[in-house]
Amino acid sequence: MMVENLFYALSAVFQLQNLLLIFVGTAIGMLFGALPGLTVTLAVTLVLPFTFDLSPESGIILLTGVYCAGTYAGSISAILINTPGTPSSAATAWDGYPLTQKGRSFEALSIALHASVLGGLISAVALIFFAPMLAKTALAFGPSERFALTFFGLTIIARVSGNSMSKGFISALFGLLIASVGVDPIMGVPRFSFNTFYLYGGIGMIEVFIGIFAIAEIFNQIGKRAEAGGLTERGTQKKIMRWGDIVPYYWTVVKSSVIGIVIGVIPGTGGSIASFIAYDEAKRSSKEPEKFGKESLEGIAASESANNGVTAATLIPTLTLGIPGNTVAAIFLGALLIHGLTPGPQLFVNQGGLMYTIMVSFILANIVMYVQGRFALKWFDKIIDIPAGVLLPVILIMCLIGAYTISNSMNSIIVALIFGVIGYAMIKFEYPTAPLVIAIILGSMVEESMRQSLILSDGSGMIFLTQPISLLFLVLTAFVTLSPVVMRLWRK
Amino acid sequence: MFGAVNLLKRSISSVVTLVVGVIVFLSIPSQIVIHDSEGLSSVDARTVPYLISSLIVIISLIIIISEGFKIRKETPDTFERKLRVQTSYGRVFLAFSAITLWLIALPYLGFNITTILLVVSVMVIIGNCRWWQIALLSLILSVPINYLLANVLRVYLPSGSIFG
Repeated sequence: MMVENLFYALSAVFQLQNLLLIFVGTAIGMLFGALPGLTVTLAVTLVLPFTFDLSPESGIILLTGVYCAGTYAGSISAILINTPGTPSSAATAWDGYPLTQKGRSFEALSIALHASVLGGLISAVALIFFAPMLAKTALAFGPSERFALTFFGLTIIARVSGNSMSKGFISALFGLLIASVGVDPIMGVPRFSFNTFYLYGGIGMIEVFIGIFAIAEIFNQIGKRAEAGGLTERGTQKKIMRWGDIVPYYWTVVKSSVIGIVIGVIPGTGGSIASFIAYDEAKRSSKEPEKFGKESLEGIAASESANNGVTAATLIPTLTLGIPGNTVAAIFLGALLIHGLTPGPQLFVNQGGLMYTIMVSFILANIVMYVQGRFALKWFDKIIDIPAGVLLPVILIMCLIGAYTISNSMNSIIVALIFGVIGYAMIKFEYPTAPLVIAIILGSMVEESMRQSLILSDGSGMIFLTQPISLLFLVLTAFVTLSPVVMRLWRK
Repeated sequence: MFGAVNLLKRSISSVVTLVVGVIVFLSIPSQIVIHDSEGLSSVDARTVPYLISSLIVIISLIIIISEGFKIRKETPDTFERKLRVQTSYGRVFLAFSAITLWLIALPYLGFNITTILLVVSVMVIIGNCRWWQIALLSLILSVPINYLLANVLRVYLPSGSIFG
């Protein structure tokens, strides 16, 4: 049965029309992912109406191309202009942008591409072989388990705070405060909304990223009198990267992809937490941990393989249980329903051919993405050669438009500008931005799952210790946090 | 006196975070109005913000106190050397003002005109740009971008109330 379905999928995917759709889809995804403010979700949403007239197979193939390439391309703007195109590329910017400033952008972009493709392929294989088994894991994750997992993600703050741990904590606390703005997820009361309708929905993550990373960096460059020449040094970097160059990072890529897959199957988590945890794990086990946050290609490999590892994995609960893992998965779910297909265990029995078409299209989308990426990288790399006087206004206008497109409102631009000023102050007073970003992304998840757990347990904190998976994650948190301290004391 | 001025200069950012922390803490009752929380859990909508703002205040105080101890050990020379940074804050302020003015004028003058003005002013602030670069870039970033967004992405940027 599986072989029959696989043959059906291969014959469907390799039709000329579908091959063309996958090329178009990856190109659209790459464009949207690379431009600050234009998200993968927006790209998939815009493409969705075009799938109505297509067959279910062709429609899903087109969406898969957009999704995979959009997730990868978030790394391009993260590396080149310090603005993650997607929240899950935030960790990529920590090493990618410093490498760009040192004139090694091509290496950073290449590693990101190779790691993304490998992460995506491993995730697609997991979707083919382990979908039903992994779906059961997703069902085991209740609020207490989700709290322990996201809390584990928050502890990374301690290791990305740089020289000043206390400033890192302050940065993270402000991130948590920003995450708490908007309607309370449990009680439904507004928090810090100042009676403004816009703030009822909370402060948008992308607007904050555009401000904190891009606009702050523009102010910084203007302040440093960036007149002639590009924004970066011209280093002696490799101009050709091959698969062999990523061999030293294979283990990191495989490990991070698995982290991405496991986290991807859990609904409500997503690529950001996967990339943070994978980045932290790569730093912990690296031979050169001191390079992380400055110029680590391994850090980029970990972050990118993890967030692309999530792509196919997040469809596992969507297809097998009908529970979308993230927004894009919810749009996929909508696309299936529009075509008259009801997700659930029966989908594999009744529509096995279509299911395998989705899986094979993920593999093909990653291969096409690699080919397009290899071609596009040389052009993307030339961006940094543009004189600062020309490049900075272009980035500024792109960021302002990007902020506007998120909600079609001036409020988003105001938020981006305010956070641009805050980000600039953070650069000047040496506050690390990484903890702020982690806290903004994970803050609401941590609070919501903690309060849901406490409601379930009538206010007893024991719920976190009595559930095996949450206990496991809390032990892991304690181990990862305390082990460096214990090792240091042991050496003394 | 010298030590107090130094401490303020050095920990100005922590003083700001301390003040913000206190303001947030005090504003919680007015900003988070809870009508009936009984029966849910011991943790309500105010708990986490209270915890966060308290920690901001405590950690800011710790930073200020530790800076005070550090200043005792430092000579004035080393501190002054740290402060001397080559930054043109005037240009940053001008760029910020240009964006703010763009933001204010956008609903009235529309995207095309305001963006041309913004690009010209930012390029002049940065300096070292030729006139044709300024003219070309300001035109490219306004009309064609606006047209593309409206016709491809269906994103309509403000066209300006003055022009109806």
